[in-house]
Amino acid sequence: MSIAVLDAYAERLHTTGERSMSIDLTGKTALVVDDYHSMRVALKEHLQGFKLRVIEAGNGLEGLEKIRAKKPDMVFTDIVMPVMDGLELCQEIKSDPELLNIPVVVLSTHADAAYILQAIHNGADDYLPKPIEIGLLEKILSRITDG
Amino acid sequence: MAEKEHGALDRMLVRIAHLDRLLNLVGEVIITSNSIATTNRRIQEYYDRGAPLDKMSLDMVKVVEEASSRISGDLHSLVMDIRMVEIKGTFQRFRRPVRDMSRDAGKNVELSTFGEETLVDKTISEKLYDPINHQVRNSIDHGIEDPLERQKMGKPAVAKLTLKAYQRENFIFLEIRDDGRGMDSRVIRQVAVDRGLISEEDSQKLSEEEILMFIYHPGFSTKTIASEISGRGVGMDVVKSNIEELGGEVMISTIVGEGTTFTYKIPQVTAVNILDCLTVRAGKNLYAIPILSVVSTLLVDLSKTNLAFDKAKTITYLGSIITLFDLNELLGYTPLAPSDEITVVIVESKNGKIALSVSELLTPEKLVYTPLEKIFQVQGISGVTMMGANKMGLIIDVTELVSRSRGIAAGEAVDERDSLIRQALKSAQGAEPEAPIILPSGETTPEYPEQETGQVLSSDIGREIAHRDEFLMELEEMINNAGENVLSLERNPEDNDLINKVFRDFHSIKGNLMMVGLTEMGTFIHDIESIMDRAREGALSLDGQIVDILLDATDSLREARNSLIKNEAPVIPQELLRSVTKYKKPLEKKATEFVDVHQRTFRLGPLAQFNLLARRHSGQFVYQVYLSFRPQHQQPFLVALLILRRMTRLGHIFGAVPSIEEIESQNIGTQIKVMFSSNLDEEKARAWIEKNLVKNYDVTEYEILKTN
Repeated sequence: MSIAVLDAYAERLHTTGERSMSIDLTGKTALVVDDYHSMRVALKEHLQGFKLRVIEAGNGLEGLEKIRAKKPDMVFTDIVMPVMDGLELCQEIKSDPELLNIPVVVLSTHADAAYILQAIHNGADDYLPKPIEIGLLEKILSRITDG
Repeated sequence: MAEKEHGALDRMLVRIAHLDRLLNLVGEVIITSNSIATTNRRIQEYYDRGAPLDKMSLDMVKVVEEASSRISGDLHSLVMDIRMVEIKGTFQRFRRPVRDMSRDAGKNVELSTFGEETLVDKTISEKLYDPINHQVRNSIDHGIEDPLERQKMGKPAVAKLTLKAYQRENFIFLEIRDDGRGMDSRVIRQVAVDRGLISEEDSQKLSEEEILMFIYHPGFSTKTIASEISGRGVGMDVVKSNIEELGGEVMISTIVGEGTTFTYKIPQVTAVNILDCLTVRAGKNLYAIPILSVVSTLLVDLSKTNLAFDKAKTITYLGSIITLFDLNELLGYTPLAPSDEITVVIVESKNGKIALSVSELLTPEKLVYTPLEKIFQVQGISGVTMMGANKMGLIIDVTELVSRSRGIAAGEAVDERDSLIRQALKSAQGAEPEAPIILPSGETTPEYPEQETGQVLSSDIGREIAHRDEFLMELEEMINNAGENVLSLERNPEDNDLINKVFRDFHSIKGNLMMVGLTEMGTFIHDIESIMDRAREGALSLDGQIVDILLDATDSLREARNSLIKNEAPVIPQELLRSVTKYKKPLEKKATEFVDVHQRTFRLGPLAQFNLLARRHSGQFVYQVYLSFRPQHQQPFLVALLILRRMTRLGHIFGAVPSIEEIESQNIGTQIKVMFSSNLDEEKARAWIEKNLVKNYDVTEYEILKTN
């Protein structure tokens, strides 16, 4: 049995202030799916901070088409959308052998745990609460791009 | 209200296709300017050599001229297209007021709209709100009968109010129709005479249509009892002047007992200062006359003119007699030298037709128009323009000119008549009219006067909102959609699709508010969403009270949006908060005691036990790992699930404490124990955990134990 106490590390992790953008995702593409343009651009700008190339789609169906055509390295999707919602989009991606390895992150609010749980059941790899915390986004990017 | 709301956010969404067209045109401008340069060089060369210009050079000039004229035409029409919006947005804003007004008036009114896709200039669509609003109020208050009266007349209890828009040639037509009692021109005539607006004798000369127009006179009203809703027909004069400001006119048609239709006819003109004009020369002066006011041009033999009054001549045009004026003289310049044959332009304004004599007709042109600054203002001239060959021209203000021609300065006359009406009113009522008799549009009394203040969302101000203008525009669209859907829901409270729609509307509004960091407002809307959630589950029936809450919520969202535009803290009215608290979803009781990870051991079913043995036999290691994590912005139970999911890459999971079911029901603190098998030895497994879990999932402490 061995014990590792990592409080010091955690401490460093949680100190706010200067935060180094340790991740450089140059050459990788993220797809952002949301039915509102202002929401897409808000996330897009965050993602571009990590050198990601960002493409956009206005609903799940459009998103799925872009995923098939452009094979992005990751997908960020809103949950409630017209035509095809984010939950269905997760299911479509994770049931397609060609796409299931593309990580999917759903965007939601804290109050919508039930939706997020459903999304995780449908195969979502992570979730990003609104408003976006850049530190968490960095962590999520690290989770979904590692290994 | 409309002005304030939109004026503060003077931006609009532009379709990508339009930008593409714009880009194409920019390309053409560049090409054209290049060919101008080439042509210029060529001509210069010929000039330097002293050679006469060849045909080729002339052709080049012609081509450039044609191209630039086409491009400027295309640019203009493109800009106009960009400025066009569907009238739908304006129409939608009346659903709520119609509902509330008719309820307050004890009437049952259904609003239907037609031609919502009609395109109008953005500015016009905004300026139409106030007049329509006054007109609608007036129809509900005066036009539509109360249900009892309707019943007596054999009319359906639910009255119909219709808004309709359509385009004919260069005009937008807007109809506001009710199926109420209609207007009796005899009654209106009598009131007009009683009020001293017109003499009995003169009134007999007016057509029915002209008599009806008296309802737009300031202070005119056929109702003797003041009404809560529309005062005393107050504001109707504002309707007419608003429409006239847009260059439009108002028409009324009515059938007693069947209803009234008010029609606004508004020219689909440019908001950009470009005018289609007929250019003319009179002596040395160049003038431009807006084409819309030109009736005809003709050549008149002086012998055919008739002398009337002192000096004024008249001509006959299509059977009617029109007074002829010298354009220069009318504007205070030297009159033209007399000649046998004169060139005449007949112009028309709402005050009538006049004929203007000029020296020469030039071409019809599109002109860029610059309004005259105040100190340079000349009556009869509305602006200046550059005509071809760098010559300045004066743009004729036809309305002003026609009035002037009759020896009346329009402004004075109106003022005079106004004060006469006021006096008449005063003596008729025996008192000064109450101060707020004419409410300037938009300055109605606040909806929550002196109510105890509501909840001030102070942390929602001063926030940097990314793409603020676009966000606010989309927010407005969302609020309008929600309001619209709630009103439909009121009519079809059992419609599940609609219930879901409204739920999604509020859900999306909440999400977007949260996304930009307006968390206080977002939290409030979450409560509204939870009311819809209960309705969706059938736990709440959508009665009038709930619909009121939903509508009040959209109103307070609108208010909040306006506050944000002005950088003020949004306020949620106390009363609304109280009713929301009453109906929102009660907080679900979460287990107060979390599963104590240290006290519990794994309980593996027979299948899991078999699986474990099999893996151990095939050489895998079996571990128990204890993890303590401290997520910053995600919920612990969801993070636990994410960790478990991630660990499936490390090996096979036999069980977890708390169990997956317990985690999903949120009976969890920030610790979990997991039993799993892996090919990795202890050192490598620890390294994996360090790399994949510790940093990324905020794991602050872990123990790993190899079981044998």
